[in-house]
Amino acid sequence: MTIALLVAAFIALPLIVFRGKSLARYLAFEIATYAIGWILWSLLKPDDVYFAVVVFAVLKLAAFSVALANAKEVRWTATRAMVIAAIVYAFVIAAQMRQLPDGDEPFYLLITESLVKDHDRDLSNQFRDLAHSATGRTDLVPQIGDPRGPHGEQFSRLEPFLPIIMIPGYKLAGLPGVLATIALLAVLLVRQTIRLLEDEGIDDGTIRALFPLFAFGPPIVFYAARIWPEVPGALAFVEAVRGIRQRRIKRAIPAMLFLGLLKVRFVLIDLFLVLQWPSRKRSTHLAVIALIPLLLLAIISGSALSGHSLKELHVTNVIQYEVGFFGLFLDGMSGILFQAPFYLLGVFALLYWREMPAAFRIGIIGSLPYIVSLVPRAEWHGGWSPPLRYITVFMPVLFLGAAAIWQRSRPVAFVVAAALWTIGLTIHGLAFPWRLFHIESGENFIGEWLSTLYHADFSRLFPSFIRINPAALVASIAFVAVLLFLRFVRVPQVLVAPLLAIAMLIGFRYALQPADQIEFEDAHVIHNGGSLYPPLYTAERFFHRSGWTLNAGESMSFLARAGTSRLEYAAGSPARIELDGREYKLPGTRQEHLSETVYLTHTGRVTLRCLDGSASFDRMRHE
Amino acid sequence: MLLPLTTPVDRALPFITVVVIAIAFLCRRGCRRHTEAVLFAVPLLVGCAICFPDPHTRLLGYGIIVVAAFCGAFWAIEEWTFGNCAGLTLAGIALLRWLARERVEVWREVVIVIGALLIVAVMKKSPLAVTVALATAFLTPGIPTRTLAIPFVVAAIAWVVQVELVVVPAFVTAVMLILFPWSGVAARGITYFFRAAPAQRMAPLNFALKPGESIDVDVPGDAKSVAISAANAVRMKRDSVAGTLDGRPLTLRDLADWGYMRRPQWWRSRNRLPRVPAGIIRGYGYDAWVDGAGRIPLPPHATRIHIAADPHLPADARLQVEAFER
Repeated sequence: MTIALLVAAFIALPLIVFRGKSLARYLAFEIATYAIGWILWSLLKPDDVYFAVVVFAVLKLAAFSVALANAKEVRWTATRAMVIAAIVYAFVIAAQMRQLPDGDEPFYLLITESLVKDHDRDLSNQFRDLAHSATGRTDLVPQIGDPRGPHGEQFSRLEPFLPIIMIPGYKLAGLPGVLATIALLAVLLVRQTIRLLEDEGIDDGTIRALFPLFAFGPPIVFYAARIWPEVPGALAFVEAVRGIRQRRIKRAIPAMLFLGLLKVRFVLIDLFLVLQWPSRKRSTHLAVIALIPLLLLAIISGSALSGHSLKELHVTNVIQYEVGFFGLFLDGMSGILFQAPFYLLGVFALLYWREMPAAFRIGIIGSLPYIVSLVPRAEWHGGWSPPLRYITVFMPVLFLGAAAIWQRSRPVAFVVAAALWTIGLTIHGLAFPWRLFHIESGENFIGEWLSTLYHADFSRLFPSFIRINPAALVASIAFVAVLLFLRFVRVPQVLVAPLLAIAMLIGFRYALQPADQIEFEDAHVIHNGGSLYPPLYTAERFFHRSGWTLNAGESMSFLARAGTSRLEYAAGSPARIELDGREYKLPGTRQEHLSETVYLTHTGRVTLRCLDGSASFDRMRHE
Repeated sequence: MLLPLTTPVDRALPFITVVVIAIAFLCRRGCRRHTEAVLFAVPLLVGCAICFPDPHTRLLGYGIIVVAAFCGAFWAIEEWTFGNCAGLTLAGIALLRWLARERVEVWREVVIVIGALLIVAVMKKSPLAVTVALATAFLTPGIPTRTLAIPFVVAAIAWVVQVELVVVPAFVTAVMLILFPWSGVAARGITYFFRAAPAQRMAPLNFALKPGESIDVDVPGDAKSVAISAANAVRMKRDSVAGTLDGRPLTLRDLADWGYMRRPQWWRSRNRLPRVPAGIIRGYGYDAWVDGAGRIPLPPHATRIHIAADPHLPADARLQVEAFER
């Protein structure tokens, strides 16, 4: 059934946009792809049929996108793009429903259920009767920071506006209806973003070439059918930017109000958007737009800041700013470079500030207070959520910047590289939606996968700003250098792919060598018993020093370098271990971690065995 | 060694890379953007070599990437000239015929290349010309020597074909190139890839029965089939009976001569792929072949079977009972 619907969808897509010879040629190509697909199916005989279907569907969507970019006889409008997005998102909903709502999602849904069934925000009875909840989650408990009422009511710290929006969908079809509501907003987001680009003078060819990277690439595609306020927020943001750019207050004010109501932190975006308002009544509008959401929140939830504190905006540690700032761009698990590389073009557009479309400048200025308040927070990476959670709202403006850069200098090599990576990310996220959530361990999935394959530390190749590693330092310096270099020097694009191949080879060879620092919970370590510390689903796990706990008789092996190293550990009572054939006695620690000097006689695979007692091993640094 | 390379095709990765770069630069005349895009097949090949430890998946990955580059060129090249067509044909022949072979008879290959280029020269310059030339070179075994005439015969016929197509040639080329790591099997028995089902060989038997000889064998508990092939039977017709299993006749549709698909034997062989092939792929590139073992299902609940070689087999022919399979 699903395959029949997919075939119907893929026949419908070209009929929407192609005409004449382009349509005939594409339909012939369409038939050929099924024949090739059948051949590949026969050759590979995939064990995971669902994964194979997702791979095939995403590759076909990519092929359609390439054809759309290059076709000569095309009927193209923002509405047609919206229809294409709607068809694709219908399948995204089905894909995302393979996983139960996670992160904040089930709590938003619980609020909707409470509003519909009890006409209140008290979730006490919802938590008591999770078996009848559309969340499908029976393991839910109130989140950290959820307020309690004077009569024992259990409220949620999440803003209630998104749950209110979801009420019609929920009443119609439960969880699928809720996801369809979000997908509907995502479809509108695609349309309005294309309208934004058209307003700013981006030509049709550019929009056609790039729109799939926006609509069907991360992060939008991963939030398009999930219960987060990010996609509705992006829609409100793009409408607000258009309203200000076109000086249409009737368009801008509702959008800004919508934005502020969705999430109280989005009020920060409103502030700098209103400041760019070309009107003498600016201060009045500012007050209205900022105060109404806060006032409504105060009335509904009793707290204008909905569990947030103004102290969050006051961080004096410069290092935290640096970590968050570069992390948003470069982190292997949560940064733009690895999770949505296409948008780096939008970042690059900042270097051509004056030449960029006015809406881009308005949007970027509007985002500044939000970004400045976000980067020093410990949770800059988004916590337990799909990647790029906190900056998804700005993607339409980054897309505009990227499109302007494309129109200006056609960086084909970069866009092809970004597109290939995006295809991989999309396949991965749709086939395994639960993997969109990743513990903040400092690793990412590609690093973990390669580490598991080769039992060597590939994760150290990927910059981590959550558990800062040397690659993060190198990447930060390289990022600034490359941005400045590219601003003034034009690299022959024909060299990009070969250089990338060479870099991959060098990285591969380097990763096979033992690392200077071994993180014991990482995927490259072969664990024979023991357990992850702190446990996987510990709330705000990134605040803890994590590691691997071994009890007597358990062991782990890993690649290490010969010579002296410092072994960092925590142990409630003294423990005895054996490493590389030598025995060490580890004194007990209290709350803190201690380090023990160890000596390895050879470079290669060594085994650490716990002989007596129990200890949690954090890392081992070569000296 | 930069990469964990285990097969001759892996070791030929630098050569494949050079071919892909050549394909990319053939697109340069129309539009430089396309060259930059096609060149990304190079990091993809490296990524494939790193990410897929299973050789079968990895080599198929190479095939898919090469197909993407090659067929991408069909759309990317805006102005079709003899140079473009010849370049693509040479690149395709290099992938399909020259890769990972233990021994290449240069003069035979030169003749085939000349024939293929002749096809390109006489046809209208388009993807179709490349595909016809490539398919001809692909299906020309080169042994016996008279088969070297095939490309020239095709060139004579192609002279009159002056049509221009893209999608159909791209499809045919894709089918050929996806399987380039085992192009010998693809050229001489492509149905193997779709008909062979994996089975585990459990008890080797290794009997070679002379005409009229027979054996009785105890069947292991979990055996489901027995793999049987023939020897010195390449000239036997497909309906010829090679032997019996519990009285049931086994024809050369059920099994084949063990080495019939090897390049020197294939042209003169009357055998084709067995109905249910039990052979395995041996070798890589154009030298790759599949042995002619057929999978013969065992009678239900059989504990002992009787296998007999047909008394009318040629004197030097043998019925080879290879192994029980799960």
